[in-house]
Amino acid sequence: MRASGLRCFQALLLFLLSWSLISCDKDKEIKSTPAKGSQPGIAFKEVAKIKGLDFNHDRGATGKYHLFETMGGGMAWLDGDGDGDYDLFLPQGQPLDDTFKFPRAGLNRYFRNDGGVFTDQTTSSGLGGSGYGLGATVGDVDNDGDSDLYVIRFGKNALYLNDGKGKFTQVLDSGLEGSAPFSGSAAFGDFDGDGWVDLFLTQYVEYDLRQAPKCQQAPAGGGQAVPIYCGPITFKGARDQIFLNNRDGTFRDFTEESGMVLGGGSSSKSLGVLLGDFDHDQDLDAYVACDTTPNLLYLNQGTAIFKEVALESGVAASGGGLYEGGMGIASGDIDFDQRLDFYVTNFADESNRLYRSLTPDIFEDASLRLGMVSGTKTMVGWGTGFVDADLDRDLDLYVANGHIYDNVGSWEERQKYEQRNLFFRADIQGGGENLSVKYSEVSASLGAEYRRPASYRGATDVDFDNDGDRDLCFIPLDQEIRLFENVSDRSGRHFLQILLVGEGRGGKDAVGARVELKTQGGTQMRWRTSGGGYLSQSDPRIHFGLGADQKVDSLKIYWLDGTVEEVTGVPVDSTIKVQKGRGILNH
Amino acid sequence: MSFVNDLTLIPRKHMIRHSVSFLLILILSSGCGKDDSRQVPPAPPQNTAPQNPVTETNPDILLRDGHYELAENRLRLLFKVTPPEKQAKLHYQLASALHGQGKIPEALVEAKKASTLQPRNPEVFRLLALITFDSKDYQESVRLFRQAIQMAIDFQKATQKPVIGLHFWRYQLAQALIRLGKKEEANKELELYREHQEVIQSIDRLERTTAYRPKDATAWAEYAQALWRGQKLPEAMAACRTCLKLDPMNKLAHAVVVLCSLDRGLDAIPQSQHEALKRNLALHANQALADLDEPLGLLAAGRLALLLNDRERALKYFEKGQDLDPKNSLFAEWQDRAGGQNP
Repeated sequence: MRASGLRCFQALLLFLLSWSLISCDKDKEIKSTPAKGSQPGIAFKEVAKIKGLDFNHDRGATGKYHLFETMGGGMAWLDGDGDGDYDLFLPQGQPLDDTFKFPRAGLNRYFRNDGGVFTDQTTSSGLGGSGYGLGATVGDVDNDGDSDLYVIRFGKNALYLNDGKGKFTQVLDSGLEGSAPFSGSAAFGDFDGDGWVDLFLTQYVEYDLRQAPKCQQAPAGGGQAVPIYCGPITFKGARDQIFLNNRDGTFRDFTEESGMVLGGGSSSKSLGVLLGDFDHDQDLDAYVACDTTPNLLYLNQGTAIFKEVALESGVAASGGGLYEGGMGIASGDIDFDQRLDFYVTNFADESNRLYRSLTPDIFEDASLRLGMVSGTKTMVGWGTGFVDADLDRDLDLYVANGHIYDNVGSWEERQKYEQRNLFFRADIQGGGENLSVKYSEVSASLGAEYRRPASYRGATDVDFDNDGDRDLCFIPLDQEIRLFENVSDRSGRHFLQILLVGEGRGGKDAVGARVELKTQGGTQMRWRTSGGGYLSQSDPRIHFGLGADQKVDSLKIYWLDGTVEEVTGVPVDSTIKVQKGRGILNH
Repeated sequence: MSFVNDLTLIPRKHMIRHSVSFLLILILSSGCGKDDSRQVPPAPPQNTAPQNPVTETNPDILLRDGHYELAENRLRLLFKVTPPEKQAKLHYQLASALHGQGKIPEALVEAKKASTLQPRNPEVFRLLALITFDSKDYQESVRLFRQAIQMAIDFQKATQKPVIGLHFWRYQLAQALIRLGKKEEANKELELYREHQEVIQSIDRLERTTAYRPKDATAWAEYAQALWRGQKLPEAMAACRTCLKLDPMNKLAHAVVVLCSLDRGLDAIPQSQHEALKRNLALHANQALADLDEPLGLLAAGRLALLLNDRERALKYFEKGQDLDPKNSLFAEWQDRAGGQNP
């Protein structure tokens, strides 16, 4: 009996020891290897303050519930001083006063980046601005080789020209002020093929400050109704606009002639916009996410004359035909078929949509099948983008979330104003013709800071420290900016980052070009797009994760004028600048 | 004025097009739950905090919130405690849960079981068509969508209850037709879908506008027009009455009064009152016709003239209306009915 008891005791000890070891291993695994199996771990570290980004967003809520108070929070990354480090522009909101004016000036912020550390250069840059800042976009408007800035404000928008050293001057009467007070997003690109970038400006709703509607919501179980922001359904849609570049710092409104009026753009409630050559016919197309009206896909007929085809292409609505609350757009070739796929963030009780391209003009809503609905149905999604966070060649996805109603919890128990951001990790399955990709929502493994609830809006990706991986940046309403440095395990993995410099059709920014990269692991395609996300502009450099491949077999640039340029001598683990017709300039 | 639900004056094609906004939530006899994100109506509040672990066990709510895996697990448990004769709904829900996870072959099996058990339920056939679509069998998907739509239309006729979201099924049918390269057929379905969507959105928007601007006669008139387009005739008449109290000369509201009355038909009232009604409508039509610049006034006056057997006058109004509003297909349709030239 005693021997048997001892054996039992030993067995129990052994079991407890084993269990504690297993438990320890588990803990370790969760901390260091969030991805399953042999996937490398994706990890981000919040570093905004450490890196010098001291910015607290202010939506300027007045208690009068003007819709624009809950719609802002964009940002733009640009290399303002041409030093290769990406600087950050942050538009700021402020309260509307009783005379229907925004009284304060100089609230926007411009942070210069030097080697991954930011300093506030708002005053010297001249970008403090005035009015109520919502978002921004970037383009080389005057073809002088530097990045100019367009600021979206409630009211009139503003264009700033860069002197190449990070000093900006506002262009008065540029023609880009916008016809409606409430723009949704903007993006620069050369629509008419004259080598100068034009502007696509989405307009959200018609909004009259003096006659703004008042809305209320009573709790579902009864009780006192509370004032809320009137949603887009309360307002009439506004007309999107396209402006062609006069090549002298001014622009002309080309909307009527462009055919956009005939499409849904005349009364849509447009927010995010993405430009690129989606159908590979050497001109620039536009995809627009719309809030409660059908999304719009404008295919360029060559000279800024558009045909709107979203409904028949399957990207206007959900797979079931529902017009959803489209906010932001991500794009990328998720399944390596050399066609661009779209991802659109939507409102709560809907879900975000992944539109997978089947042919250049037919898409399927593949959200369910690819595992991208999970976690998005109770969220309100905004900024978003595809990145290869762990350099394993497939495109992961980040999504910013946050409700528009700051008091939603008082009348809708399922919803929260402050929501967490999501991160979907891509997982390639199969190979060759049987290759498919599946997404898993892995934000739980990215730590508390990434999941910290807030009402986020703008979200961008940038390699701010030029270490070859994409970092993420989020703007939460009324809170401090969040900059997430990518600290993923990338051992044995390589990258290539390319800045394209165009010439002629497409302009210096080369928006509309495509880059095809061949390595041992296969072929990857990237598009030089403009806009995307929500009210924001990400790092414009083309980024490839190469997995374990250490050699580039082939790099081809498909420029917007149809020229195909093969670039030789491409180093890996480098950021290179490729100029049309001249190959690699430096790295 | 009393009305009956008689739409005999509206061509059948037109009636289908305009009937969508009568849609109310249809509780099908089998009580199928909402399936996935493709369903339309916003859900009522529930006690499921989105950022906390899910404690909900009701499969309908789990499906609505996109917790497909949890819904599947729950349903598999429910199968064990539910007698086979009561499992029809479970098969439907399980198909939705599997579909939501992208498990298409398994979802197809469950949807087929559900359709066998509920051979008259259009919603089940719609789900089967959807899953078949996702399995890339577009030919079969088109057949099933058409079957589901026809079943829904038959159901509506038989019960006078609308099937919610029928136009969404047309959108899905169109997508299947596009995959088969049948763009012309697809465009017809998309056109019906687009019109339904526009009407629904207009009603929604104008309902809110009139709520915060209750003294705005123009908003009330536009609301009345949208309700008429959606064939919500009593509501449209009520909106007209509100509008005309605020602005007795509002041409659009007068036109909508005439159109609503004509859509209801004379059979709605006793024979003895027909002449009085015609005289009353003529007064409204005259108001609507003032300045001849309100297209809907011309449509209303033309239709009234047709009722009064003045074909020539009717055609004149329809032609003028078409000049003012060339995109409105109703003028061409009514010219056809009047036997005139359809340009």
